[in-house]
Amino acid sequence: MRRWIEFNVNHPGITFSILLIFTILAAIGFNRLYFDSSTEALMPKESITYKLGQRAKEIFIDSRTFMLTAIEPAKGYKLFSEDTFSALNALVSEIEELKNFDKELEDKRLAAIMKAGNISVVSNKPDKKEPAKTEEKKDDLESELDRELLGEGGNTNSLKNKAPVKTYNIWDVSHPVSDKFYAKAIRKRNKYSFEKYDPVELGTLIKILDAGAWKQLKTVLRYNKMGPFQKNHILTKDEYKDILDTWETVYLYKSMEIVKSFVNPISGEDIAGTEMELKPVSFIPKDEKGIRHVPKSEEEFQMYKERLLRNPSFKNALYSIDDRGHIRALAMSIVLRPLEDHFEIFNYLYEIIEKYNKAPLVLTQAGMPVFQKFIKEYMKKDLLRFMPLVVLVVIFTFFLNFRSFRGVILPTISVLLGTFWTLGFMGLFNIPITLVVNMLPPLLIAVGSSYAIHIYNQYILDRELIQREGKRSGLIQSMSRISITVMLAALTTFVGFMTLTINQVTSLRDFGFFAAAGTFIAMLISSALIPSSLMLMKLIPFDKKRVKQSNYAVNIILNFFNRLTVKHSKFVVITSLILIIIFSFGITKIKVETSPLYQFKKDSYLYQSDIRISELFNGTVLMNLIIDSGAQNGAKDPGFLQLIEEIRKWILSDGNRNKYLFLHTLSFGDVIKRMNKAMNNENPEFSTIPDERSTITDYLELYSGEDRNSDGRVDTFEQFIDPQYRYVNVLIRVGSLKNKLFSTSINAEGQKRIIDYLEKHPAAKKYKYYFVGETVNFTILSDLIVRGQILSVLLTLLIVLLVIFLLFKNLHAGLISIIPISTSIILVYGIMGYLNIPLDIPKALLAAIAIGIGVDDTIHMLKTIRLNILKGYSIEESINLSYREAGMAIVYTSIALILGFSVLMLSEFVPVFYLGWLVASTMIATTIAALVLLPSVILLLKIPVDRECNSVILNFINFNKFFQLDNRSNGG
Amino acid sequence: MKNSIFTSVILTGLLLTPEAWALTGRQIMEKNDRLKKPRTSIQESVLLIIKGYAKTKKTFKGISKKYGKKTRKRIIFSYPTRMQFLVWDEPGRDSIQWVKLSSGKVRKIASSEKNKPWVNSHFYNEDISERNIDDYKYKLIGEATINGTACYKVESRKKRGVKVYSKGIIYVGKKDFVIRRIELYERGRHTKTLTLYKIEKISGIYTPRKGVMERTDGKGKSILYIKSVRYNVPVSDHQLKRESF
Repeated sequence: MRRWIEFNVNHPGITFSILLIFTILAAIGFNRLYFDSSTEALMPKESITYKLGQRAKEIFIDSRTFMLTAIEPAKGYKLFSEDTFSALNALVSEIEELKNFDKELEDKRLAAIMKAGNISVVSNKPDKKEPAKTEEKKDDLESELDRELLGEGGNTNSLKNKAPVKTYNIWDVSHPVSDKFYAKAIRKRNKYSFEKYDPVELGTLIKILDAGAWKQLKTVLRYNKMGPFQKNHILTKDEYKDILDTWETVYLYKSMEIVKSFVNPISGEDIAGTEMELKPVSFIPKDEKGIRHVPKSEEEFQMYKERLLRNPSFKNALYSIDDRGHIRALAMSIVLRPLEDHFEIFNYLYEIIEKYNKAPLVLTQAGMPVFQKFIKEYMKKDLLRFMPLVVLVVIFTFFLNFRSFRGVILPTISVLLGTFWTLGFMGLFNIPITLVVNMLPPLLIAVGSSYAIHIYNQYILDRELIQREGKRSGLIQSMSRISITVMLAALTTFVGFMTLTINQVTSLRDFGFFAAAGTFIAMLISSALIPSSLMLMKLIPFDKKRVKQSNYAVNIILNFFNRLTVKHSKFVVITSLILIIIFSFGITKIKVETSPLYQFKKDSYLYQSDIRISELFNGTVLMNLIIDSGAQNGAKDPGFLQLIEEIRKWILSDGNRNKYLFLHTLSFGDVIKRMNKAMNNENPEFSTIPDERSTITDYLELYSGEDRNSDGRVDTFEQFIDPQYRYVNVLIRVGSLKNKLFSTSINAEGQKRIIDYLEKHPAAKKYKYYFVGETVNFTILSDLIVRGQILSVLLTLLIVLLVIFLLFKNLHAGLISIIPISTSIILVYGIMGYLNIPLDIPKALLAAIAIGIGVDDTIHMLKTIRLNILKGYSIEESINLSYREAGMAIVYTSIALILGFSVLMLSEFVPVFYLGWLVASTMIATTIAALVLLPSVILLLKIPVDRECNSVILNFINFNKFFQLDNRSNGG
Repeated sequence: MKNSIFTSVILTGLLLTPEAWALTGRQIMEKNDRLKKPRTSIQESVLLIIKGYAKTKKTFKGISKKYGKKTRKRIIFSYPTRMQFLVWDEPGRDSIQWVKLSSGKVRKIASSEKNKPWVNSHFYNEDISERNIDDYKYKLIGEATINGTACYKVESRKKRGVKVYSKGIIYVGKKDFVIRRIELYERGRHTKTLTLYKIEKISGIYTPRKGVMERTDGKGKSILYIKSVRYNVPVSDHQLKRESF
């Protein structure tokens, strides 16, 4: 370490150059940073549940794209009125364009916009040609039938009754899910040339676009946060670019027909059966020109309501009924086609719906996409809020401590550089900023500030020495002394964070790794930049009086601790033991919670909308229970389908509904039951699964729906059944009730209950089943957090013990070093348990932060006490001296950390708020424990912290020599 | 005199050149429409539907009879279902349909939407229903060779009624005016192609023994085989009545 200091002091120019180079490199990475709010970013990719979930997305639907919108009338309007339905019709029509791509129309619209602005397409590489669809590519069965029926070529084989179907295991997760199942646009993205842009008036655009395109333009303007504009507004080139850019994006999404399922009360359909006839019925039919005419009169609305009410499965899916049996709200739900990232299209859809969220409609959106959108926005808000505040806080702390310009500037620059480099390297390695990683910048600033404080503080203390020995030599001696201590502190913090990398939650691993790296980087920068800068600056004359005055308040605190330790060590130790016992019980009360709802404040839109929609429509989050019939076409077996209905009925029984918040289920059986009812004159008694397999087969033949992706399943079945008709996906909707909030723990219990039921059910137990979906991910994450937390804490404590042991060659020192941090952790986790603060992903960082940072104080204090004893002082004298030598720096670094972490309490996220509060509390606890409990234990039990073990191994692994701890002139 | 002889020779020459006899799209389709059609037919068919990994084979018998401009058809499935359909078609009106389930239950079903799949195949209801030549406008757009047969290329667009397809490109044999292929466009995109194979003349009626409706994206196809067919054989009216169900 001395060599490092020597180099930096002797060659400040080179030091600055190297710092500059790395800063430029970090800037490149910084530009590549991106936010990711999905649970995908958190889940371990090697987990079987994750892989099954990915497979389920491919086979059924991507349930995390499910969004539900509640439709209610605005004040002064009726739900069933022409105004309301006209607005709703406009909304539905706009979304339908994302489901049914009309190439001719969209090409025409795009061409019109380009022409209006005199924009041209920059020549693009031609798309790959369509695959040759030739007769030569024959299926085996086709060839066989050609021979049999047409007498074409080869030997004649006898016709088989059943067509052989290639079988494969759709759950074979050893084969990775390919991206082939992602939706694809019909062409590559066009590049446009705006060189010859001819300014366009908005009114002109309105005139040349059709009504649907004008609606889209309004959404595009809104999406880009442009306007409101008057019709005579002339669009600037930049504005036109943004419009066309978004238009192109929407074109490509439309070409993917990105909306896979759109269930709504306007364009939806049902079947209706009378004694004589079975016929499809649209909720609101279209005329010959394809125009939908919304109901106007009471009679028309009455007929409309009857169509809705006819199908039992529409209840709580399309409409909600109040206590008097009246329809009080309608709903529409959207599911998107699979994509790697839905964020962009979801944002656009959100804007479409929000555009209509005004009189006469009140639209409330909910579902995982809505959560993720807000999480991302809040994360950005948090980061923008934290950064300047935490910087101000540390600047304030520096000022409080050093009261000089350079005493503020030098530590601030070193701290900011360290954080910038870490974020930059994250960008270079493509690490996303998740909710957890979002806390890294303020953490690094807070942590880095402590090293800067120690180093600059040492400079202040050694000014007399520097004056005497000369700047170069004096600085080298002074900085060498403290840099060892700082390195030691950084090492233990590094270790503390690195233990997070054993966690299987991806985001926690990323956080741990980069927090560790960032800590090390902060230490390196502080120990390079500050000495180099001081070498180039004038030396500030030493002023004893000023130092004494500026630290007056802190001295009072330290004197108090000193007296408490020396005079009342027994009291301190016993009180601590009692607190440990009390708060240990608190730990057993801790619950784990990973559901998104708990992240938001009760007055937030998300919280309120989730409660409202759960109340109206039975939940906003989907859980998949996939049951294997065991054979191809097994899902057409009446016995199997009837069993599933029995399971569904049990899941939704009152007890389960109220206890586990299972609010609604959807399944393949709903279609069969509906057809059966329709085929039997709408007799409700026939809303059942028929007993004959042949009847089910007939219904499926009769149900002629679209199969756009030609996978053998009608599109509306895709979320419920696999292409082989073997696996049935029961979608269980979960949510909150008025008196009970949806939570991971409740859902985990519910899953266990279902498993228990299935395993004991005489008919069900012979079938295999799988739980996948977002709620299952929550449960997995919470398990991983708990396991990871316990392991992480134990490992960190063990490593700290080992490091101290190796450093001081003293087992007692190692053992007592973990007392302050263990005590603090028990206290804080106990508080969590007693105050019912759940453990979640952000709070899973608590132990690592507390140990990693908190142990610094212990090391400083322990090292100082030990050195003083080695100098010949008694334990009591050593303790008194240590308060003067190490106490100040300990208190100031703790203040910086406490204030720095307190900034997290301004977060939009409830867990981050609590984390800030808890970390600040832990820092207070570890500081007091290091300054009071540690010396009390040493004094009371006369712990020989100065003795060294003499063993071959310890002599070989000589940390002492490396860290130069034997040198008695190296004060702390 | 010399001038009139000269003019006659020139005019005769002109009349003999192919360009003078060029057909319009409409004319080509009229020639196709005038091809001999059966009054009755009884056929055994196999429908093979290939979608992804799933292959489904369906077998059925079809009985049809014309009553002037009206047509009555009965489709009797033997595998994988024993459903039967009875369809009454009349130009300018929606067809009337009944279904008899395997269980024996009979229901009238409203005429299915034209753009919906027929028995979950790649054929739409539009594809298997009677076409009225006057519902479309035609334009000759070129020539091509399909499976070794020289064909006219005619673009057709529906001018009235529900438009399932925005347009179709029909390849009509130049010699026999039998359709060899139709490229079908939905909302401006070429989505499916119907190709007819093994066109045989049975009882003087051109019969494609194999018709393949294939998606242009290669994601699946449906193949309709005519295993056997008899034309203009006696078909009792009773078989084509509701009461026969």
